[in-house]
Amino acid sequence: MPKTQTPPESSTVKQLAQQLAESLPDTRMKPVVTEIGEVVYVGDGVVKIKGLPSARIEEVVDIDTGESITQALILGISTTLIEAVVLGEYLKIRQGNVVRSTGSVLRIQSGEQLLGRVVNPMGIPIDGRGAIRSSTYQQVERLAPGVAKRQPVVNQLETGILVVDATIPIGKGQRELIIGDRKSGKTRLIASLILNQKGRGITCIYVAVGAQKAKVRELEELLRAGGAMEYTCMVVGSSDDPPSLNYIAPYAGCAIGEYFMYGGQDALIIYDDLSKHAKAYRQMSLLLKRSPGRDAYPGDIFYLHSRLLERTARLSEDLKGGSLTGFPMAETQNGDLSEYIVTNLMSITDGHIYLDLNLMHEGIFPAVNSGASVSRIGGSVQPPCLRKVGELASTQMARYQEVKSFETLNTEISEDTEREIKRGKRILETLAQDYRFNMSNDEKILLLYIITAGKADNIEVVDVRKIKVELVEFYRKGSYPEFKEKAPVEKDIAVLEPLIMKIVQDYVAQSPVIGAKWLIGEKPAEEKPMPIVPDPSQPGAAPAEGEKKPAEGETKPEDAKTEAPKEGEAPAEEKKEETKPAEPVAEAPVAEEKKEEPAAETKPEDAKTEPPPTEESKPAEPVEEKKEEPPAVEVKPEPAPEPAAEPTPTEEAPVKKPAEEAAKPAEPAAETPATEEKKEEPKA
Amino acid sequence: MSLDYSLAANQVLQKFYLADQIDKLHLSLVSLLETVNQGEMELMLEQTPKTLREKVGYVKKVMEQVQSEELRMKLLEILDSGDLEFFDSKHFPDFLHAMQRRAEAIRVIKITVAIEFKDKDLHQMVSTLSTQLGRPVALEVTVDPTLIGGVIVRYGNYITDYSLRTRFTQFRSDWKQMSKQ
Repeated sequence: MPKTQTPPESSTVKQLAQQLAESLPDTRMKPVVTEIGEVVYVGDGVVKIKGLPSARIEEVVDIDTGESITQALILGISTTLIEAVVLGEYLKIRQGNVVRSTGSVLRIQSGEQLLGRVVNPMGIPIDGRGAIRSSTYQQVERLAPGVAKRQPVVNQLETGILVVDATIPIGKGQRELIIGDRKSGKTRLIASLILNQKGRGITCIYVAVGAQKAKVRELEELLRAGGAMEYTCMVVGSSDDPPSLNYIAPYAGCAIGEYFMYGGQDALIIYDDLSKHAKAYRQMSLLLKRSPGRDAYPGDIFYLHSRLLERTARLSEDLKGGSLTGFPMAETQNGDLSEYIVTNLMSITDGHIYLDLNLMHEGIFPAVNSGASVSRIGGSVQPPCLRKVGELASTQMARYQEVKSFETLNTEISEDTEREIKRGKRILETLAQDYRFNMSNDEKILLLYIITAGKADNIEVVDVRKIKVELVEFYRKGSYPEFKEKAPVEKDIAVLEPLIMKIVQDYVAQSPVIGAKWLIGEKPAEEKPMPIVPDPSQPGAAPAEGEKKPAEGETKPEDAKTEAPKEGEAPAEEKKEETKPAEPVAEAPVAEEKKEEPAAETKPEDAKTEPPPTEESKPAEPVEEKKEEPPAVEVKPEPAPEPAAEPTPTEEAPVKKPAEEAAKPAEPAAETPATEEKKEEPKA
Repeated sequence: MSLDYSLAANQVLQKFYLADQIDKLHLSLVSLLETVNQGEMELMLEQTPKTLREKVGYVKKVMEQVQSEELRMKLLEILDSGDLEFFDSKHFPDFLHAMQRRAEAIRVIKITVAIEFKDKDLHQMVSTLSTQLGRPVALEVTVDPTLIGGVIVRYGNYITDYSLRTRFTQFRSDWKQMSKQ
């Protein structure tokens, strides 16, 4: 190999110097000419300036206070004076201070260096993790990409939140408003949203406007603990910042997001929240003595938000095809969706997610009211099967919302309505999700298919809660590559059905939840009701005598009813058999505890008098019990003997109703014989 | 009248080149006009039968109270030449008003320099600037050694920076930028 000759050091230096001299701009002495003005009025964060003949809107000017330089942003120019808002400390500004024009618009540093950091709206870090050394700057105010620079929103933004992805699908580049009363779980929803983006290659920007610092810190810790800060940047305008900083906070956050969008990446931005942003702008406008309009907001309040939200887009492939998805948030007052700013935002965005305080009080998290929420992008971004099951779930939920009030009425409900109520409850329970629990599309299809197909209708709600988590975890651990591959692309749900059932069967085979057997159409073995230790101090516990004999058969009044004809069968089989007729009564206490209290009245009371059963299936004993039982019933007429012991046909319906929820599709008629038997027992 | 007041005003103003001097001139003119308007001077010079010596003595006494040294010197010079008529009520107020108009036309230019300039240099600077701007100027000089060299000129709504400090700063940023490239 020929050796390359290195030039002597001196010549290298000369070359370098020459290159530098050539490459450097004109080295002749050129004066720097700066326009100046003078402060003539100082208000709460606003100043009026005389001079600056070439100033323009959105330009940044430097105010020399003598001690330091404070920046201000020009918002208005009149014939004599210039109006500007101070971006920082304004208490040191005095009348007569020199104002220098910078000739540039406001810029904020951006880039990957900002990920994992918390900055103020000027891009200055406030998380105590040192300076940010980013070489790229983005304009805070920037024109939204034009029509030609965009392309339709067709890719789904997976939020990992079942209810959102299934019923309110969101596409990359969409703007989805999140609205709800205070304390309705808005921040929790977005925390979940950010946490769920882990590993999905989406950069998140969280913008807080007028937020409490403690809450921001809390959220930061939460995200950091979940490893989400690696791809997240927080821009914080706190409640003690001047309104000008809160005003620019969303624009600054958007500028950071645009860096990623124009770089061909996918990003999402959350504005928490734009109601406060509007208030900050209103405050500024009033201080600048601009005419107030509706609710004292200035006339350009709509443009304030529309120009911000138009900057979220999915760029065309020529511009690298990046996207910025916007999640503006707005706070409603007592669920009022007709508030000025909320309606403005609703008209600007491509849909909204409504968080219902009532749902939250019911313990449903996220408290998304899927009926009142909408996504104008539609199902075009969803996997076909998820779209189908999602639509089905929405329909069933809508029906449930219509008929759920019937449940509380003391009337007889048709079987269909009852099934709809049951289904709705289970869907609602399935849609509830822990904010740390992330779901992929195949998992969502799996769960929603099972629920919407009615396979979980007979499972108690508490069990549904367990099953939905266990099933997903089981699926994740197991190996079902075919379903995993097909689920996101398959158009026909019938193709997926056998695959889903295979997963379900495997799950049921190992599930500790007894009720899970309903998923494969099998009726689970009866669960033993928990024995209640009698309280000797209570008068109802008087029949101590009955303790001996009915003790064994306490759980078996129902057993006896069915077991009697099948004495010859093996105990295990017997157990299966016996549950069929007994099931409605046996399941009732667990399924709908509150409502089934009256129905279960006879049994728990019996239990009071009896110690826990030692043996379960003794064919002969129930026959004895039948004889023993009447005294037990007879002894307790004091609390409410009549309705419990001898339910009349009119009383039976409301009593039966909740119990039927759990078991009606199986054997609705089984209950009547059981009660009839009870009636007959005392007679016997 | 032996002396053209307009010419006298120009002669006086040629001696002014600093903003402080202009400020004092303004104050002096206001003070003198007040004295004239009170009629005391007219009474002394025209109506009261006083000797010439008494009249000159009175005018000198008034002139000694003038704050602006340049104006005082000029007025005393005129007085010493024996032109007492200049100070009568027909001419002196016109002179003062002419002075006021010319003083108001002077634009103050604030300059910041690294070292203290000599009077001769400042005169030279004022002369150059007056020629360039086409109007009389005065300087308000501030010394700031951090400039290293050169000057920063503030005039009206503009600041023009000829300082070495800014030049070096520019050079540093250019150097950094080129090094990155």
